[in-house]
Amino acid sequence: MHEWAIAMSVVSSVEKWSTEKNVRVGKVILSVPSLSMLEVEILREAFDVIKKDSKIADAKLEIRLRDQEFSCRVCGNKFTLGDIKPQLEQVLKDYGEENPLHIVPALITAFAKCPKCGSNDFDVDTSIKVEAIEL
Amino acid sequence: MNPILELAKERFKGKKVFAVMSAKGGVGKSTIASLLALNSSEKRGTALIDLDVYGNSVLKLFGIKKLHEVSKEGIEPFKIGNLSIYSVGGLVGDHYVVLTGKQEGGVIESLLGFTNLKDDLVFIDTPPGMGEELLTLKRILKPEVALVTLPSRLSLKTVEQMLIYLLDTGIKPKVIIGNMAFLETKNGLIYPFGNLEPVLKLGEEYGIRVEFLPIDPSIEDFIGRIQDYSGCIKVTLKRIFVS
Ligand SMILES: Nc1ncnc2c1ncn2[C@@H]1O[C@H](COP(=O)(O)OP(=O)(O)OP(=O)(O)O)[C@@H](O)[C@H]1O
Ligand SMILES: [Mg+2]
Ligand SMILES: [Zn+2]
Repeated sequence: MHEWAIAMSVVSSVEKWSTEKNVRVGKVILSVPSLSMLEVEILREAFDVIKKDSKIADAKLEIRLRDQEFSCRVCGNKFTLGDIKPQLEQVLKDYGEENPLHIVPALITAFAKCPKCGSNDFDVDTSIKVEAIEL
Repeated sequence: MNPILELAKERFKGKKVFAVMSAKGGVGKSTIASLLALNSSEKRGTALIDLDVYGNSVLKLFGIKKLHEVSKEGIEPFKIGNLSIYSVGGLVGDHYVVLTGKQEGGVIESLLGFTNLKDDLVFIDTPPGMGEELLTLKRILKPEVALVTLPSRLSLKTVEQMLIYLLDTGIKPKVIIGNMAFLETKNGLIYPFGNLEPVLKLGEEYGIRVEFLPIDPSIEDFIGRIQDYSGCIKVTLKRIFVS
């Protein structure tokens, strides 16, 4: 469900950009953190529906799932999503599909710990960003 | 390009946003923001957004223990009459929230970007201090500000620094609220933080209106059901904010 709100944000921000620059958008490349558990197919479908009523109706969407690197600020350990999989599964179990990380991936430090030292104090890029726009 | 930030800016375009702020903790921000929003919602649809991602006092004041529903449009509010309430506490429930500074900004951006905001009048409860929440809020919108302080000299000194910062960034608070200024007793008024001169002087110095709120010990009985409170703090706030 949340994929729709994200698609709305992408369409409206790219539409605004293209209007300002007065260009036609061919393709939008969107980078999405995989820990947000967004469903790529729903995101694409939402984008295709929402774009129809916008000035970027011809734009295609390319979604790049980003397997981000985590870096512990306490012990220096570098880890990946796979290393904290059990913790993410617990979140899914506790909250279901519309869970806090799905809606606000930046909440990751509240729900995961460094597998080596157990600290919540780690760096990770959880942003959703438009990486590039092709004309 | 950060689409969530853009979405947040879009959502708040043309809205009247009133933020209750203080550099000092525990001075009554959440209580005042909640009562202001309740007063306003008696006349029209009003939103109340809780930016205190660690404390979630707003949910505790209203006794809300549910989780937000999420629709295609975004995060759906908790409804109390005409009041729509949004809070990160409504996403995480009882779970603690711990965030690095950068994550904190991301959380605020998402909350403001994804709220399915329908009302044109928005009150915001902010956490104490001048951290990431304040910076993120200012990236997205330019609020009207009510600055809250205790009449205590310590509180005033801290709040004056925030006032100077706000003025530096082009935001002139609409009002300075001296909260818990006096207590009414059978034998007259008691001023627990001393006389109110220093608050009045601060307002005078910067040309900002000053208002005072009484202490109401009975507010304790309404934690968890502040929507039922109609005592002197609420009545005084109604008088201060006539519009
Ligand atoms: N005018 C008042 N009379 C009596 N009690 C009050 C008054 N204003 C606030 N309080 C009480 O003071 C305490 C702090 O209030 P509140 O949580 O609203 O402050 P805050 O500034 O939001 O705190 P924080 O900085 O932690 O967010 C609460 O217990 C509240 O009930
Ligand atoms: Mg508070
Ligand atoms: Zn570690």
